[in-house]
Amino acid sequence: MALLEVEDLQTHFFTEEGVVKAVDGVSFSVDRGEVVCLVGESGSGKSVTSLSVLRLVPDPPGRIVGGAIRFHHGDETEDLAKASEARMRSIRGDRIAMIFQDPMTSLNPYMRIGQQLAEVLEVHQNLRGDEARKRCLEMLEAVGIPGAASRLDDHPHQLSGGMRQRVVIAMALLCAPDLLIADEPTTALDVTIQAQILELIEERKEQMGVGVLFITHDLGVVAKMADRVAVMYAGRLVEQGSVDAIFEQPQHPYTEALLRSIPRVDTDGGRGRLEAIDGLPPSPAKLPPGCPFHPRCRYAEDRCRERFPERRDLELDGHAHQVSCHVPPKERG
Amino acid sequence: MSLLEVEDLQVHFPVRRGLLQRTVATVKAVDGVRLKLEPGQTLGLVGESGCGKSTTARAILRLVDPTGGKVLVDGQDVAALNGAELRAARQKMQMIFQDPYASLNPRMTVLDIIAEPLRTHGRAGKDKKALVRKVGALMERTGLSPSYMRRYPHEFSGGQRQRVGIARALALEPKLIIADEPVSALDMSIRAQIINLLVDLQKEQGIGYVFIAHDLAVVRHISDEIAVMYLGRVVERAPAVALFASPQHPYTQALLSAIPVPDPKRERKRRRLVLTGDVPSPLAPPSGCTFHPRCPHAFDRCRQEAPELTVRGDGHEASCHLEEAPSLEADA
Repeated sequence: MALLEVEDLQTHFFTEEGVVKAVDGVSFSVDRGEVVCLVGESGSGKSVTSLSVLRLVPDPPGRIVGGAIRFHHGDETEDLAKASEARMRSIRGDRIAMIFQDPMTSLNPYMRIGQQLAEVLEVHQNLRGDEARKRCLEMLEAVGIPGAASRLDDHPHQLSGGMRQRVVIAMALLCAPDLLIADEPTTALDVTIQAQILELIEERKEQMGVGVLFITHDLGVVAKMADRVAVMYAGRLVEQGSVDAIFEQPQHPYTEALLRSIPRVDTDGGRGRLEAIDGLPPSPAKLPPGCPFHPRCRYAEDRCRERFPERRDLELDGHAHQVSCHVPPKERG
Repeated sequence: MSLLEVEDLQVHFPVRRGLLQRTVATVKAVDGVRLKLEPGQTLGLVGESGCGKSTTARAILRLVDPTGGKVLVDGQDVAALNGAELRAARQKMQMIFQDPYASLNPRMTVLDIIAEPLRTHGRAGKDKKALVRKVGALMERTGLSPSYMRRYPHEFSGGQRQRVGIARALALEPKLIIADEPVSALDMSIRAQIINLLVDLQKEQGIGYVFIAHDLAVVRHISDEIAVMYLGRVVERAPAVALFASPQHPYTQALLSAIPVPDPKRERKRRRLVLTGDVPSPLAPPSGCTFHPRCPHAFDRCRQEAPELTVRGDGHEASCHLEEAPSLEADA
């Protein structure tokens, strides 16, 4: 069952230079116990999408100008796009939790780890004292912090980067959220630590049935983590489908080009040239007309320059698949 | 003659505390590193943060002073040079930095940025037009339009700025370029462009690269040989293909196993060797083999005695007490 349904989300920024359509008509859903990876480059709108779900887009200049963010929990469904700030405060950290790239975004450098964790329980579950401390300790142990009891009295600076990110994950999971939003949670970590953190998120997904919206630009991480993948380009969702279909039969020229451009450790590449994508991603303030990928697309036709392609619904690999491209793969020269 | 030979390089930093700034400890950031690079080849340096790869690079360029050892560039020991000799030697080697935003002076035009090394080393000449032509040619060579010469760094995208950094590095026609994470700050669709540019330049001009990156797929793509570092030491050194095909050191194995590959079906079948714990503090490195507290195969000898690099195959060396590489679970 869907946990989160985002429909036709539009988040715009009203700047002196004009309106920046950072997110322009994005629709996707996340089910319970499912990891959906949101992939894209800087400026593609992937982070603004996740911030919109939590209603954390700075206003002004940003505003959700259209669409719905339906969140199903318990027997209720509510549209977060219309929820009050007070309601959002009670949802954030409780029903929907977030992990950012830099753990210090979520940690207060002046507070002890134990206090910060306990605060979450006090705010959302009115739990204090020994009971709260016990729950915090259990959670720190569950995320694999060695000597967790002695860590409760540490300040964040006394921990390594990987340990801090574990604390943030512990904090995010304390209230057993329905949805976890992870925005590049391992980008700043070393690969052996990244492997530990990814396993941890996977374990929680399997044991607690958390739905995860995972934002990343690392296609290896996508292959490891995702059940489904949504690819964003210039504020639009250009393709989404099952992880296997996205990697094996990409339908959008951008997805296809991206997969071809990366060097891989698992094939005999040698030192040939990589198939680079020419040009630059467009600035969100100055989008080209039509399909925003057309200036870099090898298959672009006249209609691509004129209007944004309608979404086409397909079935690939037994799963629903959506793509927004005028030129179907068969017609590509 | 090799382009670069690093012999027993050591870089130690004193840790000072208190009013009198007494040295209370020493961080052995680089502790006995040996490397070799032939002209026109690429040596990849990999390892996690704090392993000493960037300090090694900086010591080669003499941006930090080595505590011990030799750095032979074209047969000349850079570690022992001073003054005018060092300045002369530095023209042979250049660096490309990770952050194209931080490594370009925002108050200088691109023309001045690219011309600066020529001016610094008195090679700009008196003919201003010739200098502008030269900068224009460098820009063209790195995929930038010379018409942007009078612009400032903020007017460029990240990928274009990295091209400016590369043009600047090429200005003195160096034999050796040290590239420290040159693509990790760039967007994924731009990385391949910059990697291709670096490979093309090497083919044309025979430049040797020391290429530092944590993205092992990129390192494998560009390198002829790879050295894996852990806590200030090289634990394994091998031709790029051999390193990935048969990693010998348990740390290399763990590192390779930790990288997710962009293939969901293979990812599901992979059995991962997940290391526990963090990299120890270089202030208090573990006894014996510094990897032993995280090593799944450690035995008594590993806790007591540091292993030397020994030959494991053609051009392949690893420092591990195990006589044979531990078998990897089949990745099938």
